[in-house]
Amino acid sequence: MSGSSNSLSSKESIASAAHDQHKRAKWFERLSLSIARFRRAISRLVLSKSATIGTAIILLWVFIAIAAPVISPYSPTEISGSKLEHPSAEHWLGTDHIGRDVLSRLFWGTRVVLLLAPLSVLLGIMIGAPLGLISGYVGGVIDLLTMRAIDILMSFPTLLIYILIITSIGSSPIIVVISVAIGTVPPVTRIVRSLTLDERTKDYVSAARLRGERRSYILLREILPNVSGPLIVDATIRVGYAIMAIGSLGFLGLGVPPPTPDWGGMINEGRQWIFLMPLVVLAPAAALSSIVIGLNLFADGIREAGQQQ
Amino acid sequence: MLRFLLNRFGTMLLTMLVISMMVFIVAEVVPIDPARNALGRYATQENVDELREKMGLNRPVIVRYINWISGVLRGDFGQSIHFQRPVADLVKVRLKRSLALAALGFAYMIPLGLALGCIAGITEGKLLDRIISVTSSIFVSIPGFASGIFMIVIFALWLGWLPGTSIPDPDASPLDNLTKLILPILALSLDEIGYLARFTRISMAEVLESDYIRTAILKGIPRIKVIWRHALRNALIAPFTAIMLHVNWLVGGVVVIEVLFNYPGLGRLLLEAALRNDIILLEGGTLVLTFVAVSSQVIGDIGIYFMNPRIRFE
Repeated sequence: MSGSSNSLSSKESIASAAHDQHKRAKWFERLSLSIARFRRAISRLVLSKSATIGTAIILLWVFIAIAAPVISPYSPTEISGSKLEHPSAEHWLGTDHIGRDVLSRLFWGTRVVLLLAPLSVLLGIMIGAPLGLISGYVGGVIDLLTMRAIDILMSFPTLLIYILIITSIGSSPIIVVISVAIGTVPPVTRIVRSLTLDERTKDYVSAARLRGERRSYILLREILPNVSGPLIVDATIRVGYAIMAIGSLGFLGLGVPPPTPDWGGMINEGRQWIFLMPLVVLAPAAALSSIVIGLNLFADGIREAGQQQ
Repeated sequence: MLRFLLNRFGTMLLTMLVISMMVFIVAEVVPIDPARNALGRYATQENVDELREKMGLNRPVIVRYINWISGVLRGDFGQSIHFQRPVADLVKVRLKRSLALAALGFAYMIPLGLALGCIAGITEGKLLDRIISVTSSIFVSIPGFASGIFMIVIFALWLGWLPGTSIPDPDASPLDNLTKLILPILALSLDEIGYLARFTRISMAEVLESDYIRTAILKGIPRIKVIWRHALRNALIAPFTAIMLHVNWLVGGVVVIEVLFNYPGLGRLLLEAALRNDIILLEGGTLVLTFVAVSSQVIGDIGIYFMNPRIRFE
């Protein structure tokens, strides 16, 4: 009796070990497959000129953001010269209306943009992607209600939503992230929904359904990986939009509150002196544009690579 | 057709209703006292209380909202708390200026964007296409305030050709006031041109690859004629929708450009109303802007309905 139970458990353990091994092998296979896919994607990207230029621009700004404390000649918030100084050996881009070094503020401002914009897009995707998945997969009343709500949100000028939220709650980095995320949710939901509608009818989904998989498994493990490709391209462009939105908010005086160096805010503060010291506003405007150009070139490159495939 | 129209107008009304409610609720949360703001920091508390009573600010939100909406239905948009003037008058003046800006922008950017996109789509892969594509990629990446700043620095500061602000002067000649609008219009339309050109290019390239175009070319019809007669009409459907869907993006651009150039349009009025928590004015302005945005979408839908027979006969 005891022997048989023992042999049963050992059989079980052998079975589970075999299962584990099988699982591991499968996992390894999947890993090597995704590495191969990644390398192919990279080699295609390198071939695309616009993707290369875009990546170079983005990497340059990422480097500046990380190295800001080392490469900035002065503190971004402390006065280091006289007011509105012209460019000189001490202040390469001159000083602003309080006497802060423009170059240092520009470098430190990179951190604000490169942190808040991706964060808000991520938050928007975290809300929008499940909404789109459920709405597209389940359909019916849920789909109808979600899409109506999304239609209403989308027909309303996005910038006005930001203005309303920020004037009512007050500005802080978190509020900026949340309001830009709210603007990101409707388009993301729409895209994920339409992709899900396409995927839903495919065989692998019916197979999973026949296997008796749970709905959450089908959505997250079967459909989501298949819609993530186009979603990532879209997210790259959305980060560009988010950077523009955060810049616009700063420009309207609704962005990250001073004295934090924020590009939009620098433009807002320096605007009055544009005829005296154009560099104070020209530098952040050019920086902001160049980052968005980099992101869009990168997205163009990915799309081209996808088409060639 | 009738059902389609009714459905679209129903959605439009629903949208405006929901948004007007949202604005009231959001404005309720704002910690700024509009009466205090209108009278200034040095007004006595009694005066502020008196104004609050007079403007009905002490009543509950729902009552105020119902009062406001029933007024709107009768054509009365209420009084601005800050300006102490009817909202309808304020909005009308400002809207005219903003529309002038947008209309002048549309008048040149739509043909330009479409033309550039068509040329790029026809010459896909060639040098001309590359140049147009890269330029439009750059154009869409420059936010309105940044392109506005580049324009001011180049044309107003360095070259001195055009004024850097656009405050209209009633004494100046109409031509002078018009030249003041050139820079804001350019700044406003740059990314729209890029957006439109990109969209048209893809659409044109797709249409040119379709079977019926190949048939037409193989039949021996000259390429120019094929493009003009057959491709153009189909290639322009998608960009047309894109323009109409982009109107609310343009509204945001108008706010930014008006602030940058100190142009007293509706966008700036709305921003000021939001900052002062002048609810009634904010509501009136938002309602008008939402109407513009939503009705442009309805027009877009109707346009597609007529341009694309496939939808009509479905």
